[in-house]
Amino acid sequence: MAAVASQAHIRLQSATSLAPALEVRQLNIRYDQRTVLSDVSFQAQSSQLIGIIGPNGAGKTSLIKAILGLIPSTGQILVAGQALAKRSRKVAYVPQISAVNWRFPASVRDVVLMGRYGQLGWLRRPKKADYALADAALEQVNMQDFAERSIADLSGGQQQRVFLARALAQEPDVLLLDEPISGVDVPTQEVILHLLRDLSSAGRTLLVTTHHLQHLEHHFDALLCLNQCLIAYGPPTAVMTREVVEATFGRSLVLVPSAERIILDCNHGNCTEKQTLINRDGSANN
Amino acid sequence: MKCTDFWNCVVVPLQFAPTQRALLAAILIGILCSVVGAFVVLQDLSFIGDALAHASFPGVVIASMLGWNIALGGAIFGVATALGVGWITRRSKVSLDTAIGVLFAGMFALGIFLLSRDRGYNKELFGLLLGDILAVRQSDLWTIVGVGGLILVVIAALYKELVLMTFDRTAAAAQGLPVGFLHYLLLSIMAITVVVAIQSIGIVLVVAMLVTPAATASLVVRRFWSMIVWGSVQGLIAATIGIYVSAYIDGVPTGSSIVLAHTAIFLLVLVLAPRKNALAGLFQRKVAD
Repeated sequence: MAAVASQAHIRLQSATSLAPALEVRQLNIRYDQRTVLSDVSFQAQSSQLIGIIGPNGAGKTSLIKAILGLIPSTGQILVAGQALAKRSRKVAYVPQISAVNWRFPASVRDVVLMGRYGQLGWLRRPKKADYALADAALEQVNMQDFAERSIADLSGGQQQRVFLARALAQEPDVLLLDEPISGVDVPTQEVILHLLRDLSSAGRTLLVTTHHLQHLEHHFDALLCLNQCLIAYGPPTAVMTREVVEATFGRSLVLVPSAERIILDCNHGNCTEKQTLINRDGSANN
Repeated sequence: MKCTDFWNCVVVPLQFAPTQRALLAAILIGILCSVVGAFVVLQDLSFIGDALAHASFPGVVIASMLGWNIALGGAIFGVATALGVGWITRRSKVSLDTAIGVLFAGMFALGIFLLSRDRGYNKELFGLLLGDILAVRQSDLWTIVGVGGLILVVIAALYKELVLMTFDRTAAAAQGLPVGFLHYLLLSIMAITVVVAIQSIGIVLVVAMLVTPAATASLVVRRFWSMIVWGSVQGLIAATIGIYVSAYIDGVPTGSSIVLAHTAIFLLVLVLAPRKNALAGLFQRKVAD
């Protein structure tokens, strides 16, 4: 009897460990009768650092917000094979630093501690263990010396790291970051990108929106090219073909000047045939 | 009122029961408004706070005509107007600001219309618009203690949720907090606070009780909880100054003297406080990444 139960337990464990860290199935987002994203499906494994690229209005932020359940969408979002519950610690969010209320007076530690609030539940105050997790998170982003400082006094890059620490204090398996390297200088971008690499090496899955197209291949394991639908998903070297880039960014972006460009405009989800170029698990077909 | 030396001047007004009650009521209201005001200021809700005060007017008039509890009548109309604002913005393309402007002026006009049908119109109108804290009865004091205490308990209980929503609404929602519910809860707390304060401070001035202490604190403090502590202390001080000023200078409404005290403290701190991002900023900003 006990043996059967433990066998079942082992089967269950292996089933969940085989499931991708994050799986999105046939996600559709409509807003004001306009299609924002249509039929997006992909899988992300643990330890993967994934860049989400696409032009303004491509649906990058919408994808993140839909995964978080902040905007209505249809389709399925599975974390480690299970549907995401409200108040789940598993998926954490790092906002664009411009999106928070900067007049709010708070110390760095106060902000990081906020990452614990959702899990604490109603009427519970942060305890010693929560403070310890917050301080550990600050150490991970190398901001432990700034704990007592006012958040408003920090530079943009330092603020970005504090918000990353807040997400880490939540002890998530999946991190969703909205434009973490925007509005900071190039050395700071490098610091943050290396930090993201460290975090993914530790086993977490990171999805990062960015409109910086330099050095994508060095920093990301996979790229998710969006323009109202999923244009391509795979390793940067496989994805960053002229065809995919042009389908993602349209005519406006010229990476390689060429007379024989093939223009593949993606309009309102009418681009499903492009997905066959690259498999959903990120491996390239060709 | 006449007095001989400093301590005598302090003690003389307190020999009268109405002044004792007024001082206690003013301090309690001052503290309550300052605590709620910290959230109001940081969420840019001052216009809504002012609107709620004006919109509660018809409720206050009807309640006083019928001999009901003034705070209850005002609260009903205040909350109804807040819901009405939401209804208008959902139904039409009218912006939030405009909907508030339309409704609060309309409700205020309704209050004046109703009051003008009553005798002793001018005297009552002045009492409601500018407040009359010396008219606070023992039962009003109990209302302030009960309702104010309840609001402070709710804020203490939901402190971390309200803080997270105020600082970063998206992150609050991402962590699974019901931000819509918390927003309406805060609006209701505001409406009730405003109505409790109206009788002593007056409809026209009550917004200053919410906004000025928190605004003053924001010039100095670096933490949210110290903003609340600063506001409460300022609420206590301004209430005390205001009550004594109106006790010694004939005919000065207490609402006016309390709000003037708040404004004076604000201006004083504004002049004395280190200028934001100036000298202090030079030394603190941009320590190497």
